[in-house]
Amino acid sequence: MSYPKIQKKLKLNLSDIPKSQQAQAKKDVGEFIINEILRYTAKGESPVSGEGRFKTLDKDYAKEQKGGNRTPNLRLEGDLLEALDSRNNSGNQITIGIMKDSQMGKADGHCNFSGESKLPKRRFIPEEKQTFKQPIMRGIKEILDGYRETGPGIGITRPGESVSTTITLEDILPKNILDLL
Amino acid sequence: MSVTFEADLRNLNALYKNIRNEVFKTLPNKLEKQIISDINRGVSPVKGNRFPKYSVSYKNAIKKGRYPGKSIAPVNLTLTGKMLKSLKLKLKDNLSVMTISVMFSDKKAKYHDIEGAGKSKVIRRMLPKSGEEFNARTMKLIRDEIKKAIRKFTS
Repeated sequence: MSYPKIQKKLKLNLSDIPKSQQAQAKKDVGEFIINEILRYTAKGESPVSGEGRFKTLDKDYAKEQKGGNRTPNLRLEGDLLEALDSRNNSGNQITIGIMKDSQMGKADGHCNFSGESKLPKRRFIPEEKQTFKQPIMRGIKEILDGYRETGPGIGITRPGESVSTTITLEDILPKNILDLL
Repeated sequence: MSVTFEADLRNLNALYKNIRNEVFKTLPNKLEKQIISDINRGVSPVKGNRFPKYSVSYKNAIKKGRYPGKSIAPVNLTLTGKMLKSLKLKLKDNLSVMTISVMFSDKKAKYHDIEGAGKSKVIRRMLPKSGEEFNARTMKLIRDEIKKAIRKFTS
């Protein structure tokens, strides 16, 4: 049986971003959206505009499979969301969604793009006429805006093999103060 | 004919100090929460990284109840919770440079982040190295807190 592709194409506003940085900007947006999908679904919420919290898991199923936790997070073995990825298309487009055909049936079961799923709808990728929730769309805009302006001088250093990171907010004043206002 | 302008910059040091103090007051707590919240939801705090899923043998052990309370997914690097609780932030007080050090003191962090965990030595990155960044949401949090502090003392 063939399933519809559980993917979403997004057009990004790349105007005023230097051509040499556009591929990286698209990659950053893709990674941001994937992280947002992981964050939203982990708390049982849809990242898709117009979709709310996911329907609570059946009590017996939750007891058997999830140690009693009834919050649906689309993760049983972790395979579905591991197949979630982003791809840079030509021009200003990117594609976000499930990239492995082996996971497409499961993904359609949750997203119901086919209209044939018998499962409760737990949509994590927007359908053609939908988009992601406002905070995600705002985040995308902010990432792209970041490519248009000079940000504060935030340096990260990590000496040796320690698991320790140092954020150095070095001399952001007075050098970059105007950029930050 | 010439015109001479003079600017008294003595207040800049005080301004810088106020901003730094404000950032130190607000950012560490939020940063700590953001890093832990991301890991709990299976999101790597490091830009360009994702947590690979657990190995089949580890998942089987979880299913058999070897680690009570542990779930297969999301991959949240939590068993006893000791490692994530060992996250500490230190602030360095210096007039010219604002520094926040973020550190996991529990030695398990080194296995996950640097040496690789388990037989297959899987790396799951938790803190950025030199030249790397935190993920987009965390970088935004850092920038926003700095911006807010600057606005507070300059508007």
